Amino acid sequence: MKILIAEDDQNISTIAKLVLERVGKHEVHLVADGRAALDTALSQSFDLIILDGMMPELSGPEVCRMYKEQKQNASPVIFLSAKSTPQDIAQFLDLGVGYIQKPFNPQTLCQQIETILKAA
Amino acid sequence: MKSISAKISIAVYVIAASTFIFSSYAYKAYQEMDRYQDDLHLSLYLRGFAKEIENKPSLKENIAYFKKVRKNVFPEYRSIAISNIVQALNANSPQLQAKRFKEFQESERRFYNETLPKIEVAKDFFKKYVLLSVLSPLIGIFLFSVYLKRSIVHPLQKLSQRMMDFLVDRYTFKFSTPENNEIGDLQRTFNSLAQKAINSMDELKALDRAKSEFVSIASHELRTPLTSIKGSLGLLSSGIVGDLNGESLGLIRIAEQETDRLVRLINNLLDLAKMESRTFKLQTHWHSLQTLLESCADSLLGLAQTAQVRIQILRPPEDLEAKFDSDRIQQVITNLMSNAIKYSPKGSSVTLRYFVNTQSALEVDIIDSGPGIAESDQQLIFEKFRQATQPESRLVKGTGLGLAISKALVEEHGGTISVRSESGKGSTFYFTLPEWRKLESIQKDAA
Ligand SMILES: Nc1ncnc2c1ncn2[C@@H]1O[C@H](COP(=O)(O)OP(=O)(O)OP(=O)(O)O)[C@@H](O)[C@H]1O
Ligand SMILES: [Mg+2]
Repeated sequence: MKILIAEDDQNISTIAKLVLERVGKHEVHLVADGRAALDTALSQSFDLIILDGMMPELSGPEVCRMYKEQKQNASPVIFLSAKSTPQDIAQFLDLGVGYIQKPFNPQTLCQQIETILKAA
Repeated sequence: MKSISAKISIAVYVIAASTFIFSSYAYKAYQEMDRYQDDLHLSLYLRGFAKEIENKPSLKENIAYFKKVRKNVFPEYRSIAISNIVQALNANSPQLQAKRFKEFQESERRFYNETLPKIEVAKDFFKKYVLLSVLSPLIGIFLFSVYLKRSIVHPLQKLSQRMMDFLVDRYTFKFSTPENNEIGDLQRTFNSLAQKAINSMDELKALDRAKSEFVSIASHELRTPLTSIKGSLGLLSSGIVGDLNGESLGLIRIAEQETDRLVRLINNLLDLAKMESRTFKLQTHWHSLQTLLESCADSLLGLAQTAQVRIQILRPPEDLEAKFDSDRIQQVITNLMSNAIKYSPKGSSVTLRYFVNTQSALEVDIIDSGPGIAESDQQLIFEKFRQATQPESRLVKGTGLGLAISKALVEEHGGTISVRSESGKGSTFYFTLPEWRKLESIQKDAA
């Protein structure tokens, strides 16, 4: 799969990239803010987009909303966030196909993603 | 003087004064009546006496008597008639005497005729004033009670209604300006009290908001670095980035376990903070207990297998349903079960059962054959960060928040949570749910 990860914390994106490449054998593309995420998602095509909840420029949900408005047959979006209030989770599930809570378990991350995509 | 007490004094004064005035008038009328009657008696007596001595020779004492009487009779024509009698008696002339006596009788008759209606009038006055002196206090008291009702009882009732409203949060500041009297003072005092209470409530709400904001930001800020730590450790320990020697792997595993504990601690703290905030709401529906327990058992299968503990569910003869927030009660059972599994010896089993207890509440029991809990610790462990003074679990280190959260959740449902245990003899953690029904009866209802 070709995956876009938008994550402003460089440590987290490094780890996520490593896991997805080594364990899942995916092709991973990294961006570090909301604006870049939207531009990249619109200009290239990905099989999956993973968005952090809080990013500079544009938040994850904002990116997702704009992306879905502007792109026909948009790719599935999964949120990766440290937020966990019921309102936040409801928003993530409304906009995307799923939500992964930080901190995630690197051993099971790929599995988690597969489960979400299967259910969607 | 304040207006209500002034009005009360005035009313009492007016009632007393009117009673006094009317009764004194009645008394005066009575006296007048009495005097007229005395006059009449005297007149009748004089006429009798005059008749007796009319044709008799005049006596000195009779003359003296008439002379004396003359001064005491009114009006003037009577005293003139008596003076004439005295003259005639002095003159000793029988004709003149007869004539004067006749005139006297006529004047007395005239007097009688004039006085009788006066007595009637006085009698009427007397009756009227007696009636007034009885009626005026009655009317006064009636009017006074109307006033009391209108200006004291009704405002008090309104005020108490307002206080009730305040108690059930339906309070508004929409009411007429309080009157300038004692009740008005009471109202004003209550208004300021209410204002004060509302202010401190607002303050509390603001604090509450600030607190939950703080907790959510803090947990976000804590989770972000933990994501990197947990991720790095996970990559190292799983060998994805290359193999480590045994000792290094051991150390990494320790770091990993403690990171997991930290993550659980943050999640639990966040949960507790949520529950303690006023905005926390349950989403209750009817759920089958059997289904609930089975899904809890499923979710803990992994932990149970690692611990080599069996999970067993005892079914009651008929399934029961209860009204609860499924996620939240699942959290409670998972907490209790993971404790039970954590503290169970290898090869033992953890038993779940549910039934209607003697207080006719639905009870769920989680039974283990672990070390048990000393009597002195049984209350304590339900408090935040309190753990029993026992050797640690052989499996996972806890955060000391699981039971505190469970207690808050069960109590939010209107139930109770507790433990029956003896040191060394296993423990039974149990909680109750007040709203339940038999599944059988639901099917009957539907049929
Ligand atoms: N089934 C049990 N048998 C014996 N002791 C128990 C049992 N359940 C709880 N305890 C005692 O009560 C304490 C508090 O339990 P609690 O679930 O609140 O915290 P914890 O299990 O230590 O941490 P966590 O927050 O991870 O659940 C435990 O530390 C343990 O000492
Ligand atoms: Mg526990």
